[in-house]
Amino acid sequence: MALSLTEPGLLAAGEAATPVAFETVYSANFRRVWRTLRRLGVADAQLDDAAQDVFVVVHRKLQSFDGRSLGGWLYAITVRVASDYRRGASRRATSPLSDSIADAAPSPARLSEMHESVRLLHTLLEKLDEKKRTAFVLSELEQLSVPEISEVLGVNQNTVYSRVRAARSQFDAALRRHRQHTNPRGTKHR
Amino acid sequence: MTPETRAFLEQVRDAEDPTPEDERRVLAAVRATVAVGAAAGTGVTVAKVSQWLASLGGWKVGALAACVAVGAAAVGATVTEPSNESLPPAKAAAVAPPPQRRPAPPLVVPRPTAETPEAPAPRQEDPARRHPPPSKKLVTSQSLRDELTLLETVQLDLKRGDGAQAVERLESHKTDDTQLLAERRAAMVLALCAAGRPELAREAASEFLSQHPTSAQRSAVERSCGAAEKRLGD
Repeated sequence: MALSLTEPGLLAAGEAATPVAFETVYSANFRRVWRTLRRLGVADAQLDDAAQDVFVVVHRKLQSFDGRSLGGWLYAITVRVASDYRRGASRRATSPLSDSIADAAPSPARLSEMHESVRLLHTLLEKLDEKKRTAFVLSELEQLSVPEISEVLGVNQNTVYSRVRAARSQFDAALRRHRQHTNPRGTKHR
Repeated sequence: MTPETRAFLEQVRDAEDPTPEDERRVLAAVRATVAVGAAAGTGVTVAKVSQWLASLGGWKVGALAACVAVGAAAVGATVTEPSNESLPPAKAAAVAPPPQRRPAPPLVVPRPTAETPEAPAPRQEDPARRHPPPSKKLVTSQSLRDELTLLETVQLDLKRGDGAQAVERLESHKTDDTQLLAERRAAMVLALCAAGRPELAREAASEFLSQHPTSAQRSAVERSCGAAEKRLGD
């Protein structure tokens, strides 16, 4: 996946320096930043503040930022802010999700299923430590490549490989355990 | 990973997008924070924010009152307006706004040119991000402008170190019909501190903190002499 983190055609790498509206960057990236903050463990009650922090930094730094990798830069800010919130916040111990995801669901049945799946996702992500969780979210949910994650996190690629591999294994096992627990006969769960 | 895990991830990958309201709300909050930082700098003043408001006539003020800074802001946000004018970081404590629901004119920044991406700023540089519930009251843009002007003047008094003048100004404009009550109360705390009246500042801080516990100005007040003395006395 290209690391432009923007809608196609926006802020492509290597473009000449031209004025870019902050709003353009915001609208092209808000959803992803929001979603990533959430998946990195920022509590719902703090999502507004965390997203605001990300984009205040973006606003302040945008003019001096390297135009080649806006996506990586945004993810780096997002990961940093999420880490701050995870460490500083008294997060809710349970039920980290609000009902807001219902907005995107087309039908009550589908909504319910999706809601449960997202809850499960967050429950499983909670089982990963912060480094593995970050690597896993960027790799498996945001679908960044290992070199891209390496750039975002500022760690070498072998480290990223190692974290992603460990996180996958842990996530896999946790999901399997969950399904065995909720569906002991082993029936397919979708 | 197993195919089942992959299928699960596929299912949830795009499942929790924010709502358009989330997007609008956060954007308004970002604008307000940036405006506070700008107002505390040297180039963009509250008067400019006031002009902004005038040009937006009819908007609910709850959001835009957010743009008011009292005392210099700790935000440190550097704003580049369409003229590409850069502003230096703010130096003192600031008062930031309530939440925002409506968009403001775009702030245009130039295309990035530096080679190295910059890391996020330290947390302490990004204050003023708490946003209390929005004002339920609509006001005329004139009354809001008057309040903005008052707070801007108080800010200048404080920058000059003239706390007594700032206190006098706030006292003389006391009114119950204020849309920026939290901002004015916070300004009073800072003004009393600057005027060398810590006991009164402590009282004002106590009142402010009890009545505006979630205000964006809370951190500024808590860093003031009034709150500091209160902590010592606890």
